[in-house]
Amino acid sequence: MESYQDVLNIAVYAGDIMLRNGAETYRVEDTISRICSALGIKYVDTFVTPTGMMVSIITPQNTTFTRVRRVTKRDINLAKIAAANEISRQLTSGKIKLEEGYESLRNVDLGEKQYNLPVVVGSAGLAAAAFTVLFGGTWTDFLPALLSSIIVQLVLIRLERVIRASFLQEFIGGIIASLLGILLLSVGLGEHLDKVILGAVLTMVPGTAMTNSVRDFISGDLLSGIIRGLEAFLIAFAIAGGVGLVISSYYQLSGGFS
Amino acid sequence: MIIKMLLAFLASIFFGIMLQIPKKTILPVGLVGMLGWTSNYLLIYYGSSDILGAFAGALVVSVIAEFLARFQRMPVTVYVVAGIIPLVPGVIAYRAMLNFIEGKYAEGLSSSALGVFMAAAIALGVALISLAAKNYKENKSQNRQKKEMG
Repeated sequence: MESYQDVLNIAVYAGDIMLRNGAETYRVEDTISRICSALGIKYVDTFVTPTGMMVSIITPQNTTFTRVRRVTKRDINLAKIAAANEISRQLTSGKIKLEEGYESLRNVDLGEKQYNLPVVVGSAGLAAAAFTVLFGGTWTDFLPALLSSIIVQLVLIRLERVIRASFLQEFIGGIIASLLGILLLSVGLGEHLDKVILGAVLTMVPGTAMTNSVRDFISGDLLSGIIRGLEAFLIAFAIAGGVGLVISSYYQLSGGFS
Repeated sequence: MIIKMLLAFLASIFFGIMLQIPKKTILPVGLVGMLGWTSNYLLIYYGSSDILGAFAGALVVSVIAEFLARFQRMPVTVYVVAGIIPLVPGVIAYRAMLNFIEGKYAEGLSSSALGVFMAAAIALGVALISLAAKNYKENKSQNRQKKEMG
């Protein structure tokens, strides 16, 4: 016999996984409401923001249960969103039972990332190199962009284990990317400093936060929209600040602007 | 241009891998990114403004993403997030920052404004299509319910 508390818990768990891995607000609310209504709950109300959620249900026996879930650690893992989405679909269509669903959600949540560290770092490098050439760099800029992006990613991943402060990572990433760009160009690798730096920092660009923000605004989740918009803005500002700091001192030292 | 299309394809794929996209969506994501970038490039080539180009690119990305999402039974976000990356106004943002450093505040402000508008155009293009798709789906299921009821 499944209790309604179990239904609430599993719905919140599914929503929690999605929110922690970068899903849009409406998708999280939708998933929670669908699971609850499909499994016999009379009334469900959700309030989801990027930093936490509240879910309240009324059972057919007119008792009310509420859960609050705080989300502090956020990451982007689209495969986990897709997997949690699929499990919630199977739950609502009755293909799997609650325990099975809970078990598969746990597997998704605690499972390893599908691409390991070397693959992720390598693709960051290749993505950066491709961007550099796409944005008007030459093929000689390919290698320095690749190298500096790989090093930036490695440093950031190391740094993440030591300190976890929002926006500091992007700031440091900007600094390292521009230092490396200057260094590599001065030893004769690459010719466009701006394009090399641009490629290397582009892997930190808050694209997800930006689109989710507007998506949230338009579907009426104003609070989430503001939070994500501000996040995107601050990340962009942190990157620009890091790059600007290095570039301006470099120009000062090397004598004037070229 | 063919080479740049290929680069947009690769850039989207590798960016997607960074964001841990499901394995079966890797090639579709590259395709979405490439087509979005190509439409943006062609529009600007034939004289449209940067903002319109970004908006059109985002529309193309999200329309294809909606179809692929139905086809592969995946959340739309998977395709959109990596697909719009080649459209990001990075060059303009960089120029704005450089202008500010050099003390050219007027140029800096105008570049930033352009960058912000382009980012907004991209986000708006994505949001518009996803909202339209959602409304369409809801209408369809409501109609079905009406039919079943009587």
